[in-house]
Amino acid sequence: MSNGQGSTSDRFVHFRIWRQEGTAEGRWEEFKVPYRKGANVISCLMEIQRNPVNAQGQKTTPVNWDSNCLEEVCGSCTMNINGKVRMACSSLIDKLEQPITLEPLRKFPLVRDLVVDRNRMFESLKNVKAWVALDGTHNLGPGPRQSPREQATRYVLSTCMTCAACLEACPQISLTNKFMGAAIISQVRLFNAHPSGSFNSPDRLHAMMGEGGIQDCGKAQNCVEVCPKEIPLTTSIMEVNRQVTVQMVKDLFAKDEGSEVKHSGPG
Amino acid sequence: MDGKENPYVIAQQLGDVMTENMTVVRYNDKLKKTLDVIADMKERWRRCNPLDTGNVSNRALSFTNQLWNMLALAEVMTKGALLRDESRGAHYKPDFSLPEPKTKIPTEDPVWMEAWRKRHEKWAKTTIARYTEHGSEISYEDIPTPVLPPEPRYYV
Repeated sequence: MSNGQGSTSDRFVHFRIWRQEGTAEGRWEEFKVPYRKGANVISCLMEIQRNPVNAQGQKTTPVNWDSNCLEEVCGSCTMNINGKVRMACSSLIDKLEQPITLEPLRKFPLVRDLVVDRNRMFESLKNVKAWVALDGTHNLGPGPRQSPREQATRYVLSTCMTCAACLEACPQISLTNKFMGAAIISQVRLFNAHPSGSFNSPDRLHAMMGEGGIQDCGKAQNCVEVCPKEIPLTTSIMEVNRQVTVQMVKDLFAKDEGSEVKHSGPG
Repeated sequence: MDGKENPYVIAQQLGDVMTENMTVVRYNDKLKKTLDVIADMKERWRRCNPLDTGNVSNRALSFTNQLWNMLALAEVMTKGALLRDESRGAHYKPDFSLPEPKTKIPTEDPVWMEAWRKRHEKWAKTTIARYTEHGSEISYEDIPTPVLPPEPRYYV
């Protein structure tokens, strides 16, 4: 079997992986994967695909998982590794204690094995209008200038890859509740800070006042601890909280109905 | 359903053989061997084990389906490269390069210009591949150049 640079198969990596289909009963399955220098969790999952036999020697199905970029920039491979939510592609075997347990994100509906349904986040992004509303066929010319300081602040927020790590770690998020989560709140801050995006600021802040909005934050601060992009999530929550308060005072005097806003959270 | 082959293994080996023989620098003997390997892999594909017979999120099934397309594309690429006995763009055949021109500016060497013209007439064409289950049928299409006649590209 061709192995590229050749694997040293006298060392094995011991995995315990959660296998489950949808809402059916799940179970742990153990694997011994040949070790290769520089291996990460994804490369080991690929190794299992090439030889889907568990540690008891029984033939089994290859593990289902999501991945794409393999460089911690797309947000696909979020999962629970040894009990901590992190990206699988950057989880190096050399730095993990064995047996390495792989579990899917528990706060999201399970599809199969390590694959979950992440629609919750995309619905929340739609709810807060997480974009700059400039669509049209007419040429708008160059955008308004921003100072490099503002750009530096906004750039970090823009690196959010909607990976769901912060939602998974947040104690206020559950499978059935409506809280939108830290990533979404941070995106509100990002688009409110854009000169043209700020036109829709009242819409976003009204969504933040609605169901699943910012009041659900319990200030556990797990989010900023697990963010793989090191986005200052708690700072964003603090800033959006301030903006929401200002908006509430404005609303007292003259409510800006703005464009159609859905006041419910995800789902 | 009892196939002995694993589609992911075949895909890895396909990646290895293509990386070995079908990057920028290409040699005809290696390309011929690669075509044989791909043909063999197509046979092995027919003996693939389904790996997963589930109805929900069956990744192995769609991968096996896509593997056939990978093999078809690999064959098209390799066959086209084998037939193209010249160097052009990211396709370099050391055995079929034009000789160096004798003048600093190539267009001033008439012998070299003649060699260039002959190659241009033969090879400035788009490779077209038509799919059949047993491999591709290669033909060529002219490149329309209505605005300017093509010239040798050189950097002085």
